Amino acid sequence: MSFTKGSITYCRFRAPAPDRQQVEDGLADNAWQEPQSPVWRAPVIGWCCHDSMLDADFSDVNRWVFGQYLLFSLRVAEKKVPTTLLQAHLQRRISTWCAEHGRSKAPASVRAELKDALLEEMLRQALPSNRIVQVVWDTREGLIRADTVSESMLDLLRKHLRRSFGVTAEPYTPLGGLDETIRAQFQLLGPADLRAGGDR
Amino acid sequence: MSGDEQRLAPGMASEFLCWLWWLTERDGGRVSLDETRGHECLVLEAWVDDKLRFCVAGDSKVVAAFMGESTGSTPPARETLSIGRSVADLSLFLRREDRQYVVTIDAEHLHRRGLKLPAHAADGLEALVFERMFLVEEVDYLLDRLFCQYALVRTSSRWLTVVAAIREWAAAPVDEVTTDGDTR
Repeated sequence: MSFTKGSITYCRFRAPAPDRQQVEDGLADNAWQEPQSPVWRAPVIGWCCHDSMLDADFSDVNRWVFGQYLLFSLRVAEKKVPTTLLQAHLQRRISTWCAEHGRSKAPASVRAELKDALLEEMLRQALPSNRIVQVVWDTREGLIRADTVSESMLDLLRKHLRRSFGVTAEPYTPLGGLDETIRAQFQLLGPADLRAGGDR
Repeated sequence: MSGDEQRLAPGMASEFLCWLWWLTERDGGRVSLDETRGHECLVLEAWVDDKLRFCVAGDSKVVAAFMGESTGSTPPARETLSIGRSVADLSLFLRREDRQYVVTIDAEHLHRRGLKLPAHAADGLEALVFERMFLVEEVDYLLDRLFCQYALVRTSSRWLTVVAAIREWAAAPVDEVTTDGDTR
């Protein structure tokens, strides 16, 4: 479900668009790249084409520029190791180490070493979870629509926009459509008491 | 304009949704948007569709949910408002000319969820993008216009009349709803 298919869940940001060349460079420089090593945890972030998370080639502008609209996606990949499984395997390895060394308890340094080794093994085998946010940047209006309302994803999107294009994406509200005086008055207000017999 | 200048005070988005619900019920689903600077007067059809949920003010946890046809017209939903619950989100049906939309709007950030666009056909990706963005922008335009109309009423002396009308409407049995509280 996205801006090109099906129903859409989205939010808006004010973000003046830089010129086309800057956007092109920003996309290319911050495009999705597969991690070099299979052992990684932190989210890996990069731009990809709107129609394929595996494709991060923006050299053909006809694939992402549609008149005033720029259409592309943010890919966020993350590897996670289930904590309970990690602890279970770790406990077993500690028991094995104790048996092999005739000790009742493993020293902290050994436990840490075993944990690091185990974590690396598990991360090597873990499949990353991938999340995609489709972005439509209306360059005429300076408005970005992103097809997510997840705060964590929006936070990553805002950071990657800043890193890639040097723009600060501000959450959009309809207050911008009001005269300055009305807006100032409105922002001083709090919600009314709408209960039956309210304000009594 | 900075983000701070655009920020909605807590509870105001919920109040807007409540006003919108009342307005659509009061006018039988036919809503007039007044002419404002740079925007012509227009009439659209709008009503609460099949979802209306409530929370306690200041807490996003949903405490009451109404689903199904004509949800906005049901006395229990109005009664929930009259006892002081805030609208958490609602699904809204919109029709302008022959274009129909259904969208859920949340009262935290006014994000749009599950926007259903009218049937559209386009030849090629570029035409599809233009067509769908035209429809998305129309929904945003209509909702922003509705919000501006609410803000104009909210900052005027008419608001006291509107509050009284909303309270009366919320507390009244279904057949006794008045049509007071003209927003003009």
